[in-house]
Amino acid sequence: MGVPVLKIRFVIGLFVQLGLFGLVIAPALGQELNEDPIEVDITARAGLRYDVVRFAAKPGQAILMKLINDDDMAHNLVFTKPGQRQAVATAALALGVDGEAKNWVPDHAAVLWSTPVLPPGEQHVLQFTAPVEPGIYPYVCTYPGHGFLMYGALYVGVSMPELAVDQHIPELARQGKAAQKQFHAWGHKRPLMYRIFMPNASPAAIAVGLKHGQNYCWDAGQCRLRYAWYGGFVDPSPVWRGNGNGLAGVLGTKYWESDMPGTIRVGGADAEPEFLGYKKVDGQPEFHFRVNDTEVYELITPLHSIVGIQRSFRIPNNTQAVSLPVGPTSQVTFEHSAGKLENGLLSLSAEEARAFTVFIGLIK
Amino acid sequence: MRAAGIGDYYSLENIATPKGLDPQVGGLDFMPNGRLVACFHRGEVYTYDPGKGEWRLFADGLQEPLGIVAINDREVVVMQRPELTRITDTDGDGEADQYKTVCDDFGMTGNYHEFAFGPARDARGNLFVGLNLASSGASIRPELRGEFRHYGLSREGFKAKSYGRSSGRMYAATPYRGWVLKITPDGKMTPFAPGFRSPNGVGFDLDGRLFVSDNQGDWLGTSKLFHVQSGKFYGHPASLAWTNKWKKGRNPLKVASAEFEAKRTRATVLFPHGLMANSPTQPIPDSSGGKFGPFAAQLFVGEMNRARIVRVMLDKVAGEWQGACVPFYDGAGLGKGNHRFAFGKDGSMWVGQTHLSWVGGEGVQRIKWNGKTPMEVESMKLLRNGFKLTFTKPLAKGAGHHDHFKFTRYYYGYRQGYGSPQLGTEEVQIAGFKLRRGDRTMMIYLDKLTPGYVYQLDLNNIAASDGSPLVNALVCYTLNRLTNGDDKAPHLVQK
Repeated sequence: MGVPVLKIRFVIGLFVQLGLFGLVIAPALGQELNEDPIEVDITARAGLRYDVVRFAAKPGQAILMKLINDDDMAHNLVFTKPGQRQAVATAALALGVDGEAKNWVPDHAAVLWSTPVLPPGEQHVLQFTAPVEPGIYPYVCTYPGHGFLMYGALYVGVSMPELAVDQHIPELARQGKAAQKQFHAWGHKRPLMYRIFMPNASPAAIAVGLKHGQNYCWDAGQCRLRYAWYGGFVDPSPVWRGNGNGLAGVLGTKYWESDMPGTIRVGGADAEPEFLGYKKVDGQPEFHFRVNDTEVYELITPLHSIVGIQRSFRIPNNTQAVSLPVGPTSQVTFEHSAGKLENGLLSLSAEEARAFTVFIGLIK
Repeated sequence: MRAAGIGDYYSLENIATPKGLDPQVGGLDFMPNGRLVACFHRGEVYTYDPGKGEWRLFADGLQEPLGIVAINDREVVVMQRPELTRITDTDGDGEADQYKTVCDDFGMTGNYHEFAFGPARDARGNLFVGLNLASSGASIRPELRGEFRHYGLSREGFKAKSYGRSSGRMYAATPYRGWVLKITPDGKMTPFAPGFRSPNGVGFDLDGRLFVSDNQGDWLGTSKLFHVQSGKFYGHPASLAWTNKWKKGRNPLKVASAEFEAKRTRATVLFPHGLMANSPTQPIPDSSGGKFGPFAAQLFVGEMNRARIVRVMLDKVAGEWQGACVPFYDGAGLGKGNHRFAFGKDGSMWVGQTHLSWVGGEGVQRIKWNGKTPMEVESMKLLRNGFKLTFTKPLAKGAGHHDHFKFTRYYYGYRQGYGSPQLGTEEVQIAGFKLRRGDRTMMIYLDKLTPGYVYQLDLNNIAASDGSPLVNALVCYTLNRLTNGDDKAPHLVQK
C-alpha cells in the first residue's frame, strides 16, 4: 500500500505556519473586578454536543470553565472572537498532520482561549476574564469534523434571545433536543453503520460513521461510494419513526460526492455489479462485490491527519486491466497509490489493481 | 356459567428488553443452544439467554429486518428490505462479523411499503421470502434497484402529483414485488408464486406445506391464509406483470376481475375482517409435541390489530386444503401487534410484537401452558351434509341443541376495490345433531352448503362434561369446495 502523498504536503505546511499560540485579552485598564467569578461546567457528550450551549457573563467578569469529556471521542473547546467560529474551525481542519501536536487549535487571530484536546473521561479547567467588549463569543470543538455540530456561545453584556430562535447555538439545541438522540441500547460508538434510505442513493444504501466524525454513503445497489461528509452521522428518525417513508438526514458537511455513474470496471465494458456482502474489519465494513466474474473488496477507513477517507481496494489474483471512476477530484485533496488519473477515471494495470488505495481529503 | 378465559390455562410473561432499544420485533427464532435470537426495527439482532434473562448484541445495521432463521449457534439468515443476508460470527466472540448477501435479485423503488418478509426454511434448506407491493401512499424514488415496469404509468408519470390515480392502490414497479420467492441455500433464486399484496407471514407447517398470510385491501375482501404452491396465482394482479406469460403493455388494472378469478387460487382460510383478524402475520405450527396444550401440529397465526393469536384448523377436502380459524389467545395480558413467533425447547411460545406506525405493539412475551386442558373446538371437518366438530374434552350432557349453535354464512367479493363487506349474509338452518354420550365429537347437519362462503359458527353456553366452559366460541370455516369437489362460486366475482 502506498504512502499517502498528501501527508507530505501538510508537513511542509507546518513550516510556513507562524505566529503565537493564542491571545490574551486583559480587562480594560482600571476596571474593577467586583463580580464573583462565574463557574460553569460544560460536558462534552456523545453525538458531538456540549451539554451547555450558552451562558452569560458581564464584561470583564472572571470565568472558571471546566470542560468534562464524557464522550468516547476526544474533544477540546475553543473560544473565538464574535462571528469567527466557522473560520477558526476551518483553520483547524487545515492543520493536517500538525493538528494533534497543536491540540487542533489553529494559529488564528480570532482564537481567544482554548483547552487542550481531552481524551475520553478527562477534564480541564480554563480560567479567563470575559472581554470588556460586549458581544456573542462562540465556543467550538475544533477537533476535525466536530465543529459543524459541536459549539455554543458566551453572551457578554448582551441579552440572550429565546432558545428556540438563538442562531448562535446548534439547531437541535434550539429545538430543545440532544444533538444526536440515542437510538440504540448500546450508545453511539463509531464506527457504526446503518443500511437505511439515504438521499442521493439507490434504496439499498449504506451509511457508515467512521472515527473522527468521518462518514460516507456506499450504495449496495450499485456497488460504489456515493458521497462523504464530516460532522455528525445521520438522523435516522425520518425512516425509523414510522413505516419507512422518509430519508435519513445527513448530519454534517458533504465534501465529496461522486459525479460519475458506475462501479469499478474490470476488464473493460461496464458490467452490472453483484453485491456479495461485507465483513467487519475493526468494526468497519469491507464491501465485497463481483464485477465481470471478478471479486472486488473495498474497505474505507478514516484519515487521521485531516478530514478525509482512504479507499482500499483488493482484487485478489486479478488478471485484467481495471478502471475506477473517482470523480470529482478538483475540489478535494485527491491521491492514489497507483495508476493513472484522467478525467476522473483512475486506470490501473492488472497487477496494480490487485491492491491499491485512493485518498479523498477535505482540504484542497 | 362463569366466563372462561385463556388465562386460566396459559400464563404469560413479559420479557424485559434492553433499555434504549426500540423493541419492535421483526423476527424470532431459537438457536440450537437454546438462545432466543431476535431482530428489531432499528436493525439490531440480539440473542437472549432465557435462563439468565440476558440479552447480547449479535449484529446491527440491518435495514428493517422482518424475519430471522437460526442456522446454528453462530449463524442466522435474516430477511431485510434490500436482501436476504447470512450473518455469521466467524471468530466465535459472540458478535457477528460477516454479512453475506444470499439473495438481492429483486427490485426496490424506495417506496416505504416494499417490506420484505420471511424467510421460512424447508427441509432441504431452501428459503422462502415474500415481497410486499409498493403503496400508492407514496410514489417511487428517483433511483431504483432493478428494472422499472408499470403498464399504467411511466417512470415520469410517477413524478406527477396524480400518480396515485394510475399506479394502482398497490403496485409492482420493479421485479417480483408481490411474489413469494424460493432461494436455494447457495443463493439461486426462483420466482415461486405471484399474487400477493402484503405477505407478512411465511411459514411451513410440520408436514412441509408452505403457508403465507396476506392482508385485507385492494383485491382482498378480507385477510387470508394461503397454502402456496409453485406457479399458482394468489389473487392480487399487480405482480402478474412480472410473469413470463403476461402480455407486454397490458395494464392489469384494466382487466376484468373475472379473468383473474379464473386464474387465482382461493385462500385456504379467510380471516373475517373486524371479527377474527384485520392484519394477520406469521403462521407457525405448534411444534411442542403437546407441551403447549392440545393443539399439537396445528397452525397459529398472529394478529396485529388486537391482543390476539388465531388458531387454524385445516381440513383436506377433495384433495385440497381449506379450513377454519378460531381465536386462540385473546387478551389476558397479551399485547397487540403479534408479529413473530418461536417455540422454545420447553414448549413455550415466544411472541414478538411490532407496529411500524400502524396499530400494534412492541416487545417480547412468552406464553406457557399450565397443563390444564381448555375446552375448545379442536378440529372442524366438512361433511357431505354438514360439519364434524371435535372438542378437546367430552361435551356436557345436553349439548346438541339449537340454542348452542348458530351458523351464519357470507362471502367476500373479489374485486379491485379496497376490502369487501360481508355479502349474502344469511343464517343457515341446522337440520340436526348427532352426539354420542361421553363423546368429544359432534355432527351438525346443515340445510345449505355452498362453495365460496365463510360458514361462521357461534357457540353459546357450551361446556365440557367436567364443567369447564368453552373458551373460544367463534369459529369461521372457509368453504371453498364441497366433499364432491364442487368449487364453483360465480358469486365471488365483483366489478
